[in-house]
Amino acid sequence: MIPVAGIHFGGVRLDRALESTASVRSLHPFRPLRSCAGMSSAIATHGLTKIYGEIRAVDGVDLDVRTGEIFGFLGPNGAGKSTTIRCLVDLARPTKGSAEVLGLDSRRDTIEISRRIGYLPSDIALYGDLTGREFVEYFANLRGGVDRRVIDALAERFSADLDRRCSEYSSGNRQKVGLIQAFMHEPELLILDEPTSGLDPLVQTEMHALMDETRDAGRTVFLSSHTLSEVDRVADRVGIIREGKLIEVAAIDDLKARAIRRLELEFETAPEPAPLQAVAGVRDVSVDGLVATVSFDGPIDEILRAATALGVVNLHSHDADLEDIFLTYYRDDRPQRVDTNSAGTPDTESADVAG
Amino acid sequence: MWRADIATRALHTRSRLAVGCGSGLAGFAVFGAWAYSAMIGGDDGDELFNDLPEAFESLIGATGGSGNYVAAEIFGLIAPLLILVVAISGAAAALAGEEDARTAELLLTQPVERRTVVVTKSVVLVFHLAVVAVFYLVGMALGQALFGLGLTYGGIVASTMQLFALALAFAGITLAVADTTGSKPIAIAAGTVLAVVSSLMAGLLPLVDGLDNLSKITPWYYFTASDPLSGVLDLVHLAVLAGLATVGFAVGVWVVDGRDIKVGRARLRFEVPAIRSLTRPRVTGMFTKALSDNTTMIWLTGGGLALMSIAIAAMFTGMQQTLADISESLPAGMTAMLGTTDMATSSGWMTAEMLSLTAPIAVIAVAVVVAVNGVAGEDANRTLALLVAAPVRRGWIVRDQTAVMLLAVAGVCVLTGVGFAVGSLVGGLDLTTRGIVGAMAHLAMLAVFFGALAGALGANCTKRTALGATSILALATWLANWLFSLSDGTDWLTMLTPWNYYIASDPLVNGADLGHLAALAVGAATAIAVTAPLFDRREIAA
Repeated sequence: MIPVAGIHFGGVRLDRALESTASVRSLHPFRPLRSCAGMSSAIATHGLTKIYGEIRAVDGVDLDVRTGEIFGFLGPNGAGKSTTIRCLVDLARPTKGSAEVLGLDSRRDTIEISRRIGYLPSDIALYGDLTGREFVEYFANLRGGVDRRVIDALAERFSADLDRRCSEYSSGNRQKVGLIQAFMHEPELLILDEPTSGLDPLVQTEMHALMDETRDAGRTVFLSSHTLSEVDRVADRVGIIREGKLIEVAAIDDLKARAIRRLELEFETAPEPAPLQAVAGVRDVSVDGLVATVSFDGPIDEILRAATALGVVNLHSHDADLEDIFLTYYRDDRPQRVDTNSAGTPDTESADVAG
Repeated sequence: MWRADIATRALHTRSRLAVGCGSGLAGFAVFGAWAYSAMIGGDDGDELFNDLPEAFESLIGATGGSGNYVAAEIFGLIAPLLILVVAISGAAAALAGEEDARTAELLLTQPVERRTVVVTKSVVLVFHLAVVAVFYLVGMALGQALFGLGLTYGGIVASTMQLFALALAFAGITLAVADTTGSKPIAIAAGTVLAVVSSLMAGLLPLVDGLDNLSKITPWYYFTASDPLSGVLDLVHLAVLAGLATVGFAVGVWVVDGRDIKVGRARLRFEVPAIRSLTRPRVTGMFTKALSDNTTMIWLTGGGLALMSIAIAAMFTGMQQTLADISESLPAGMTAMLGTTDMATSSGWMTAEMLSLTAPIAVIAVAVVVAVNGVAGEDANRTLALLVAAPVRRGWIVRDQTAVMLLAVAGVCVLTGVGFAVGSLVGGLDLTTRGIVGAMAHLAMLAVFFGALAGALGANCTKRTALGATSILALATWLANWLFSLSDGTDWLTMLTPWNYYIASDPLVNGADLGHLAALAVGAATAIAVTAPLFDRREIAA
């Protein structure tokens, strides 16, 4: 027997991992999920549908973004992300269904919503004849004034030069100005469409930190991004949209927990596969000499107990990252249906698409 | 429903055009008054103008009776032209312009109602129209005070109010279209077409027995019919224009709340497959890309000119006697502007109505727009860096885009020529094939001259600069050609303007004048020759 405390699993001491058997949440000890109990919705859509001619850009989307979380909204180009966002901020009007933002109707209470949210569109366009500062101050004035010190602090944080004309900005600098205008009034909800597009890695890191701080302050971030590593890093939950349909909503950790992972177990002597195969959640076991490779989903603790009984001396984990999970959804020809239960937790199951 | 910050921004972006058009208008009023006084002589000029038949006054949009010819031309043509540029472009830019530029996304997600944006920008637009109207008032007053325009100050005030009301009407109509479609180009096209067509209707319909009352359906009737230059201010006419404006603005404000906000430029495309292939050729290279970008404009302009040619030709027979009366009493100085000496002939009629101003403006506009959409347009779209990074010589880019400009001009002129030919058959005119071909050749070469100039300017400066400079040059040389031709002493100076080589040889009668065509071709070739070297020197902005 070897003490399990000496085994590292995915960068975390195995004994600590074993302490939490309910999920793999504890594998991310630095960013524990916040308790969602009692939280209201920052964004809620009900059968949101947007049809352009014969194209169903958004198709019956039921979304529930909780206050105080960073919600990643994933999907490839044309999946319906931006159309959904445009419905949320009342730039596009739903063909069917409705949306509530901060508990307000997206159509009826547009002004109040606009006052309380910060929005960054993808591929932002600025007024080329204004300097960055004039641009930001213009939008600050439209909001009834913003503390200039906040603008200066954001500009310093993003290393943004606000004294040049917007027409002279590179795409990264345009993005910085857009981010400043989105954050400057410290909104309750930020709706950000590809916020780190064009930013250098240093500013991206600063941006991620700012999103974390926003969430820690109890505010909400709705983050649409193609950069899966970014969403993986900052988001608490993700929604995956495909061909206008929301096919998955889950905590990233839950997704990872559900995803098929692989363990490479090294034994003192060639192991028998049967005890490992018998563990619930194990999909496949292959043995090559002293090493057994186990594919599994669900909790890991029973596998580790079985492996320990067989005399495991070392193990390597291959954790599924968000990119693997995302690609799984998009490689699968069968879109999936998401049913949300009364607690707002999505139950996902495979289903053939009708129509 | 009002936001001072949005108004300030609109003032910042739109005031330059309003002040430019207004000061140009005032300058033209003073300069025109001086030139007319110096070349024709005030009293002689008044006599000439007072002898004009009423039908001719209707035809040129002048109100006669009051003021000299310059006063009538400024009020009937130049002032409406310039103030409608401000009105139509301003209305189209209000919200549709923000959608076009993709800035509406940010603007409309601030705590500001859409209607507030439209109302605020509309108020600023009204202010800008008032600014242009005041420039008109000051220019006419100065022209009258310094050189004499044959007007009373009451006439100047009354005409200013009519001008302002006309501009409001077209601004309202354009705003309604812009806010319904969310497209700046469609709104500008609709406003412009409506202004041109209704202007022609207002000028021509009174000359046709039985149709004269139909002119009352156009805004222009309520602009000129009361003869405001004489000091008559018809409140009913003013109210009609104000009513049109009110309805337009109301629709513009009302519709904007019920639709999606567009992202980027909404383009006018025909979705019927057969037509679509004609309006959007398959893009396989630089040439077909430039062609595809401009094909819709080519078809619309060429088709519009063709239909207009047919309609005007068809009216000739019914108006022949009236036109004969006009021609008999037409002062020699004015034939220069119309490009013909005898409007009672079919070629004279078509030259005066189509070739003197309407067709050249349209074809030059196509040539210049296609040319500035080339290098300068690619730069404005931030696609130029990508293009020059491809393994193509800059000279090839100039070559292909020049070829598309030539093709566009040729296409529009061919369609117009077909319109002349069909019109000649329908209206029983005796236009010759040689004359039509010659006239179209001259028309094409004039447009190519200005298109080449715009292309050369666009190769090394911004799209706006190239467009503005070429437009000003075209207008200035047209005015110079007309003014120089008014006096024997200055007549030779017309040879310095391209317009002389376009119209002086009366190509619809005499066919192509190879010497004149060569003169225009040399000018165009020179501009084209310097385009590539200018482009080579250009640094591509990030």
